[in-house]
Amino acid sequence: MKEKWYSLALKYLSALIVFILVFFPIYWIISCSFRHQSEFLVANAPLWSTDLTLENYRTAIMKADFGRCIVNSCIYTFSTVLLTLAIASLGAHALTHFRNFRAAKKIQVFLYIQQMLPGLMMTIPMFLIYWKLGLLNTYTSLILIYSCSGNLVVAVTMLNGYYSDVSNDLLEAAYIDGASGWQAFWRVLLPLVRPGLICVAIYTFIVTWQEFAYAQNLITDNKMYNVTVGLTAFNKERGKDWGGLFAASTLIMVPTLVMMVTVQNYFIDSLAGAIKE
Amino acid sequence: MMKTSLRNSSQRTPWLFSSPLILCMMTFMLFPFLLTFFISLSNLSLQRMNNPTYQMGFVGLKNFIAIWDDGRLLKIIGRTFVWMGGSLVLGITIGVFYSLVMTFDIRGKSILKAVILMPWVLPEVVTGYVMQLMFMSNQGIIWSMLVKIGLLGPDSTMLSNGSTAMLLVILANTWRAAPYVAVMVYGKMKSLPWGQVEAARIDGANSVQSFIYITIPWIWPIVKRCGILLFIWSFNAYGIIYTMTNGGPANATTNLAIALRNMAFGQYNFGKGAAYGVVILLLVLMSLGILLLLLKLLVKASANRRNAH
Repeated sequence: MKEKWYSLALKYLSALIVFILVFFPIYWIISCSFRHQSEFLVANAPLWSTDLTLENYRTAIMKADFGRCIVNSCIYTFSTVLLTLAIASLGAHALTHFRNFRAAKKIQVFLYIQQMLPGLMMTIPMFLIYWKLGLLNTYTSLILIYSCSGNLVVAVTMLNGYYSDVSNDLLEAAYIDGASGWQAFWRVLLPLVRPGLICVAIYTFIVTWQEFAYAQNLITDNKMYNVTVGLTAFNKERGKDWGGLFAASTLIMVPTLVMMVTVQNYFIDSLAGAIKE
Repeated sequence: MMKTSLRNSSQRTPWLFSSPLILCMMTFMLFPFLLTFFISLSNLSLQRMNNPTYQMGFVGLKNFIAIWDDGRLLKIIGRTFVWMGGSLVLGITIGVFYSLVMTFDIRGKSILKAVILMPWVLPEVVTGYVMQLMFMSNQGIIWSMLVKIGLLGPDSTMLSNGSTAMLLVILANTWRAAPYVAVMVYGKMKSLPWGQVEAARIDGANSVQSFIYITIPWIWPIVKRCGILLFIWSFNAYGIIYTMTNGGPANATTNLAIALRNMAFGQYNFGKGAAYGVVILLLVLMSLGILLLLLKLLVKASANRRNAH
């Protein structure tokens, strides 16, 4: 049955609406980052501006030292991705491939409950623990908290899905051929679940890059700020410097947007697939 | 497959593999969680801790009484539920709508898929700032549009008015959350059995009916899961509110998360901050229980209604 024309028109209209709803604020951020300061003081801002400038980026990087925030975020995020992948890939293996592992069920239940608990309240004890250990304002503090709590639980859950697709027979065959537990893990399992590892890596990257709660409250030294806290500090110090603020925001967006555009098909399918239960 | 017949240390290997995970679970999840309860019962605060002769003192439920503050806690809890309810309902509705549009077979489908997750990968603080700029009086682009079409008077300010401020932060949160829901639901929606839809069409159902009676039950498990996730997030995320209104105007947008953060890291009173944390925990547990119960009753009621036809 051929589709009626008004049905098709409705579909295109809905798609357009969705596109505008989703993309307009992002367009606004990018557009404002290139506008002159003076344009923000007048009413009736135009939808697009032809008078573009790079002065906001210069302000953000030179005067507000935002470049340092970006470097810090890179350190926090990449370390977290690596550490989370390491712990999660090992742990999920224990949870899915060893039928006789008696603690597996208990660990699964713990992780499931942990996901339900409000993570915000743990900023307080973590702050105090780090203070006592003298670890406040260090890279270690944030990296540890990112890779060992919330993210880790999600990572393990995701990997459980991918790991259980790998048949135990393959691992059995490896053991029969004389492989040790570690060799079976490293040489047989990991190559097979590489899509899962990539999915977890991307997800962890995105979540850690934009993390705000712990970063704001555990790091008070402005040389150690990550990008999100740096942005709020920017706003506090420079008042209504919207142009600079959005230049910094655009810089924050770049890595994640690039990632989205290049791997979006793959990521969307695997994100949806990892939730299959 | 009996592993025990091949390896005699069948318990050692999984323990070795899971030891980092278990270590993290104990140190970074269980221990801080228990510590929060202790702190909520103490009078810990930065001022006291800076005093070298300070010994941590237990004050029982004094912190909880203090944050109750003549019923102020109730108002904060109320706002938390408004924030949570609004974000949940809007987020899921719009998310499902996005997901439906993503299944349309139209040109430009891939552009849509490319941009759909962008709101979610954007940090909350960026979202907060851009929403603030767009809705600001006199300078906001959306504000001026609303005035032009007459929905807003030229003197009104959206962010200084308590109820519109709450609406705006909910909208900002929805803008971020709906794409996540959309992506989750899309996976299931793609696998909708079109045979059923065809059969329904032949029987005379139009698209709306087929959506309500076929699509929605099909995606319902995922919607439930997203609902729980959004529910948890709405108790945790204070970034949007912090950057848009910081709990204002006059505490109109102060929910539990903001209250916790400002008490613990604004006033540096850890005892009271932890007390807020315990309140959040209790509320989450209670609400989850009630919600799941309600859902079960709802499903049973509609099943009974359908069976009665």
